[in-house]
Amino acid sequence: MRLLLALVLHALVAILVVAPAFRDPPRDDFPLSNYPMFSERKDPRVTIQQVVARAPGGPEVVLPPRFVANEEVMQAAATIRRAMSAGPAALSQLCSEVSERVGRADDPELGLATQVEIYSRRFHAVKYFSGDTSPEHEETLARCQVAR
Amino acid sequence: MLRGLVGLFALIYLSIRFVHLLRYRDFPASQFAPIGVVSVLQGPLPAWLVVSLVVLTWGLSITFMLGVWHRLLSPLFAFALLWTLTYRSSWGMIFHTENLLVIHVLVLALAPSADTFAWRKPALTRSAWTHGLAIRLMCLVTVLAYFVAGWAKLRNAG
Repeated sequence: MRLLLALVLHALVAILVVAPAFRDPPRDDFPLSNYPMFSERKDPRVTIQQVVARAPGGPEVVLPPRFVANEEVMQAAATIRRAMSAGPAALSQLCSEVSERVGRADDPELGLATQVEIYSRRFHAVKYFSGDTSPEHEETLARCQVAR
Repeated sequence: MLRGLVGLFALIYLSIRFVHLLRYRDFPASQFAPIGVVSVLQGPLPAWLVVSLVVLTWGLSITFMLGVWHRLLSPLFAFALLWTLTYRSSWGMIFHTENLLVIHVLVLALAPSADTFAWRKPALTRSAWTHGLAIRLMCLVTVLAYFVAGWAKLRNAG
């Protein structure tokens, strides 16, 4: 009897864990998942937002997330998306905040930076990781001077 | 001992993520996309409640690790962890890395896993077979989670 109950319990748990993958369409959830990062075909073209600092005549420096929000990449991305949704005034405000942090940064790479720009850029993921890191398309969302 | 180790992992994980988990109190309601158990909500929780639940979950991870009042507090911890981490994943991105942690804690919390390494050991003794049941379930869940991911990948690859 004890063995039968254990088998039933194992079978129920097994069904629960694999069920999301066999639903039509497969369903992602938490903590049970169909692991969509493996089960969906991904479009190689991806649009992301980047905040960059630029010195006159120099290359752009893509700023790490801590200049936008904090160390969390996803939260920095969410901060930019939120500003995009709120409109140009919010993007300008975000740009000003970032430029103040760039101005205060003790980073030799940013010492000559005079301008901060926020972009929405579309990349081809396969080309990007093959070495061609230039965007296929870009839109300037905001631009501001570095405050020093 | 296994419960103690999983509890220690959960405690460290929650400690590292503590500030991050609190930040969801300030996210705009427009980004709220509830999943799993959080689907019962129509909108985000008030900030004070988010903070309270994160603190409660963190505290309960200690009682779970130590096996304090296991039959009462460990299921409470399992649900608090499930809720807190589901809430974290209810903002547009699901953190699949936390799936197995939550399921393993659920299994251990509902199993007699505080008979040896615990604050107050129960008087009764259970067989090794009974104690092994939770471990077998955890192994099964782990293997199946990777099976589902691998199967999905192979199916997609053709």
